[in-house]
Amino acid sequence: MTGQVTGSEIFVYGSYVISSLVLLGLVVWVFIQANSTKRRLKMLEEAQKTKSEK
Amino acid sequence: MFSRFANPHRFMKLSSWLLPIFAVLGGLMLVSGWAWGLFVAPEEQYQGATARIMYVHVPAAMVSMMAYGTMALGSLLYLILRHSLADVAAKAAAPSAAALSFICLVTGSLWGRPTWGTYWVWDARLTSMLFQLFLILGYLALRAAYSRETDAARSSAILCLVGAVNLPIIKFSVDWWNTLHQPAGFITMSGTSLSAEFFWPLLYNLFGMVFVFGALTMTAMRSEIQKRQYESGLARLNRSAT
Repeated sequence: MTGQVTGSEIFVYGSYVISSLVLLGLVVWVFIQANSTKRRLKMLEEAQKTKSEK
Repeated sequence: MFSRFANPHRFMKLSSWLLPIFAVLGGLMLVSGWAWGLFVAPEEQYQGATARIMYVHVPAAMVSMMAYGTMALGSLLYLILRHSLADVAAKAAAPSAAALSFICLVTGSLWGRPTWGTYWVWDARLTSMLFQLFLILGYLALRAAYSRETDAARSSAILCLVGAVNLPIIKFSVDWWNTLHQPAGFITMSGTSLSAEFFWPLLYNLFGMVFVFGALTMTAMRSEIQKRQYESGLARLNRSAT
């Protein structure tokens, strides 16, 4: 085919790799935040329970 | 009606069964959709394999604008109704909006090099998308600068709403100005200019990205609600201790 862009595979794979890494990083960051909040809330609930038992 | 649906307790209940559906659908659709775009969809007549970048770039661009729209709607509802869940939604959508805008800019740049001969050009579409990324980063920085959540919510909501004027600029920039970026072809008022072999994988990837964004935003919203519960619980505990 005349006039077709060739030799661009590096750009195509680069796009997918960078996008995967950014999305994966975002997913990991969101889940770390969510787990840390959940853990802190649980600790607080336990502290409140212990206080009310006293 | 809004207050009935915007109850945090009701949201936590609803999202606890919606979240796994969005996460599984989003993950599966995005992985299979990218494989479809990379290995199954045909090469374009003139752009060759380069057009495969479209299956990442276009969904990222569209969903990043949708994410900013979510932030703007949440900000508007917060300013009018003072409902904290609206602010939670705006705050939760921001990191995904930033990440998707970044993906859109990087993939667009990598698409531009082999087709236009340059990674970057200051044309209206590219510049307005870069401005969107800066706006979101500014929004996140502004929120982080305040120690009180209510102050952060009000200021950042105003910034977000002012920045919402950029959304129609991004969308119509290719019609209003002469740009190097091609005009919209995927979804237009008169249908699509794409042939079926390109249209279906692109639509599939768009839905995959929407589900991933939904899952991430719901997770971040749940986390933010729990964070606020923790902070108010801690303040109560401290008050009762003194």
